[in-house]
Amino acid sequence: MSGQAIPDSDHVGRYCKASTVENGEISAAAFMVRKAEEYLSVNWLEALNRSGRATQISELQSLYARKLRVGAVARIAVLNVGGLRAKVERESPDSRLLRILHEPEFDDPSHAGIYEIPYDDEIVAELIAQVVLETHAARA
Amino acid sequence: MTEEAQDQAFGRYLAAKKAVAAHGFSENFEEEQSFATIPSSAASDVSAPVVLVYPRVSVVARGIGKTYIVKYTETSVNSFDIVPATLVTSKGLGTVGTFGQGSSMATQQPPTAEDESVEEIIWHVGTALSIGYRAKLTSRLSELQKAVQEEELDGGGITVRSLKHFINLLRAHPALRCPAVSVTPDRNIYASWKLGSDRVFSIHFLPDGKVRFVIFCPNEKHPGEPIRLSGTATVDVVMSVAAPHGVLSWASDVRPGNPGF
Repeated sequence: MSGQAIPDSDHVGRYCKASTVENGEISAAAFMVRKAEEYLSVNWLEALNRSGRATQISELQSLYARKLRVGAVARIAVLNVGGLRAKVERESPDSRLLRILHEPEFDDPSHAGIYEIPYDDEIVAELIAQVVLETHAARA
Repeated sequence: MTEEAQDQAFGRYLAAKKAVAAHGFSENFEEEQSFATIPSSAASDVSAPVVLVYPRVSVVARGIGKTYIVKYTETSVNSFDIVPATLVTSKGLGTVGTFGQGSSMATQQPPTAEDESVEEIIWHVGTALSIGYRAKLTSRLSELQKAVQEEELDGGGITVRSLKHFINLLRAHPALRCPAVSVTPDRNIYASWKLGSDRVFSIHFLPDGKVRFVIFCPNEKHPGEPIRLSGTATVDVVMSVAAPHGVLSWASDVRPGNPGF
């Protein structure tokens, strides 16, 4: 359902371009939005209906291969929804409340968005980069 | 020929090709047998600007039957941009102290050629920038340029002016350590110096010479309550803005008593 809030206990995966990865580390640049973008695109891992992390990641890799030009060193950053929201609310100067909503697309049913990331202030992107739980190769 | 020598030769070739093309003398420059270069002694000095000396370039323009003798001497190709030294603001939790126009960067830069490419700028970094980590930086920038070109549907690369401002900052502050470098969605350079999660200094280099920066630093009076602030400035003053927050203790080799900035 579009606009459904993703539970705090669930996880999202963010495709991190090769240009935002250095020696496997994800830069805050991976969590920045363009001026016209309303939200940061992610995928709701639990909505993929796969049993474990490995199969969720495998499913995402297949999805990316269909939708994107996947760079050789591009990564998938896994974030816990509750941890992400709490971190940003607690540590951003304006106690920002992020909203993470399901935004399914025809060819990407697990698609979701992180809302309220400011375009012109990198502090939230830096905070998000600090709560990355795991990273995985974006290319199978 | 070593890799470095090949790079230098390629750079001289690029500059000469541009110069000849600018005069419209030849469309098949690469086939010209009379092209020759003599490297100056300055070209091998990493701290000096690259100086090219072309004693004679002879080309024949097609269909004209005339020989043009062009003499290029001491043509400098080491050019970077001038950045504005205005507007400085800061916002956020921290207290930004008084700061001045500390850097003289804006007055040190010669004018630049508008058509300088990312590849040429990277080549300059690898041959003429006086910093200890230039090989590593050159490699990283080349990697990023390739990655951006592969990722973007239009095949475009890093924003040239953003990259120039980044290089200007490193050149003006050689004590800075090599940052982690990445590219933002707008294809601008984003540089970060980090030490753990409570020491972060990141700069987003905008094409117009402004920057947006983020600083996380320990709060000496309240351990466990780090200071987090962000703001905007121009590239020539951002270090003056950031230095009072202690960023140099992890972003550079500068230590107390040896200000360097």
